[in-house]
Amino acid sequence: MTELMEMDEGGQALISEEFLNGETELTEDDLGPYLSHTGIEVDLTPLDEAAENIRAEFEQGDAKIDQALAPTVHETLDLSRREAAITGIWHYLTVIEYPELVRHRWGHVNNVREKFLEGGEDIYSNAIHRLWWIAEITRDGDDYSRTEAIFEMQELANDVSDRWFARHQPITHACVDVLQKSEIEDLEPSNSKIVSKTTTQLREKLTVICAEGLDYPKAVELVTQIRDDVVEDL
Amino acid sequence: MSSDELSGRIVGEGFPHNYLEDALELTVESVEVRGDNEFDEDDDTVQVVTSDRRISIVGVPQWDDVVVNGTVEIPQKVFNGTLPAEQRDDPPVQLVLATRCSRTILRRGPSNEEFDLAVDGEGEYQFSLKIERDDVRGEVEIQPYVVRSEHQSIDVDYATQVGDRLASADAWTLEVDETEDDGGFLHPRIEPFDRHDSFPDGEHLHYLHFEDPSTPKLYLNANHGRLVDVLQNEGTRGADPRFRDVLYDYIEQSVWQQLLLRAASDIDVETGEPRHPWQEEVVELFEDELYPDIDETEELRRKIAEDAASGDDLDVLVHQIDLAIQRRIDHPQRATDLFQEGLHND
Repeated sequence: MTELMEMDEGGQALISEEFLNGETELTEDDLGPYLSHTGIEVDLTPLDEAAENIRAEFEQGDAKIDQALAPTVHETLDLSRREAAITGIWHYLTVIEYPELVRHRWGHVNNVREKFLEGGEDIYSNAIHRLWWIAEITRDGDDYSRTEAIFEMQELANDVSDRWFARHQPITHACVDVLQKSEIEDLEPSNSKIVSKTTTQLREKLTVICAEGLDYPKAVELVTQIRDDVVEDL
Repeated sequence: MSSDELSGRIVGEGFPHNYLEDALELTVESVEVRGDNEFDEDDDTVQVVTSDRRISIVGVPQWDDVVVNGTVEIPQKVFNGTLPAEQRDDPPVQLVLATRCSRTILRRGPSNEEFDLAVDGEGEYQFSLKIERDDVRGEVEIQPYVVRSEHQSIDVDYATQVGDRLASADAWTLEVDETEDDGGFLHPRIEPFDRHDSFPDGEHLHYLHFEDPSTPKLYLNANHGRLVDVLQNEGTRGADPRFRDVLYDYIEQSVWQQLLLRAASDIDVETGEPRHPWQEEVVELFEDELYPDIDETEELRRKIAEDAASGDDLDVLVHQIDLAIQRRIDHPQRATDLFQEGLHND
């Protein structure tokens, strides 16, 4: 078992360009003064194995990595929401446990630093935190089929997870069910335009509608109505 | 006042139907914190501050869940003001207790059905809201809404869609952990300024209210609906979040200036003692930037109090405060981000 440590903000000063590029690594000893105990222990073996397979089977920067990895990230890191809200845990995971995985997925982008060091209420940025939280808001118990569906299309994963409405599970599930690739790929406009415009209009609608007042069937009805209007207008 | 304001009809720009924002009343009757030991508000560890709509269980050492028991009062004007006449006797509405915890990415909406209640007219509706420790961290917001439960096409002057907000009340806050608060004054409340005689006129975007000097409160003007919408944007990508950051910087510049000057005026010149606890926090926030040569916080407090009391040095203090705030906020970075966002969209 591995205890998940919490890396505090002071440790961020040690995240150099050389580290981000993979020219140097940081160990628990290097970051010792900036790590504190959480008492949260997990068996990282399944994630270690999955990370190794990912590096062997997927090209660098392949977005399909998210789909392949998210359920394992969530299952392996068996955390409550309260525990997952400790931002420093995610920094420990990206910087000390899985830096190669983060670089393999995101090393090509300009903002790779945020893939190591963002987190908190922003579930879009930190590489591992993002996979865990998107799995958390899309899963149905142990069923991760919506998690796999949302990552089938990066536009959908990004446009849903970056919005405050995604914190309400019936709406997230409705978005995935109505906007996933298999539902819209036969429609005339591009998939990304449908997703982008539908989620934008949904956000606007939810300034008038109370998100928490929608259960799953009502959310599906609303998202479907908006999607159909968008398709007609495009 | 216009007729709209008298009847409390429309809140802010962009609300297409009648919405009574402050018509409900949420009353907390008791709070039970459960775990190995049981606590309630008779213990010092559980605090219910009705005037501030705040419950704090920060002092409770170990707990598994907390149950907030209370009532939501729905007055008749909610039904009269938001539903077509034909629907007021058998109202197609739901009472929802929106429960939100931003740190745990949580929004839930237990409704009257889960509390075994049917909303059939004016009155007090009882609820027991259970919140599990594993689901929350920091603060939890609890806000009641009355929403439509069915579509209607009888009268399009009223809300038509399922889930449309009809009425609400200000949120209560349940504090479950100490928060990393860098200035609670910057968590604004949203009010239409033209409804308050003591607020500045409708052209203003924000107002720092010192009605209770011990707890200054920041208000945003709901009359500027589009801007307030941007300020509430939770995203991280695109033009709206970039614009939000710049807009908040502009507001912060003004707010910190007022808070620092107010603190400087109130602090005792001889002892450096602030009059209110927030003044100590505000000066501490700026202690590295305000007078970099002064290391001791108490000496810094005395220094700004002296400058504020001295007519000759007041301009120096104002200048120092302006520089300190600009150092802290880093306007150029935020403005550059917005500018680059514009370039990408050209």
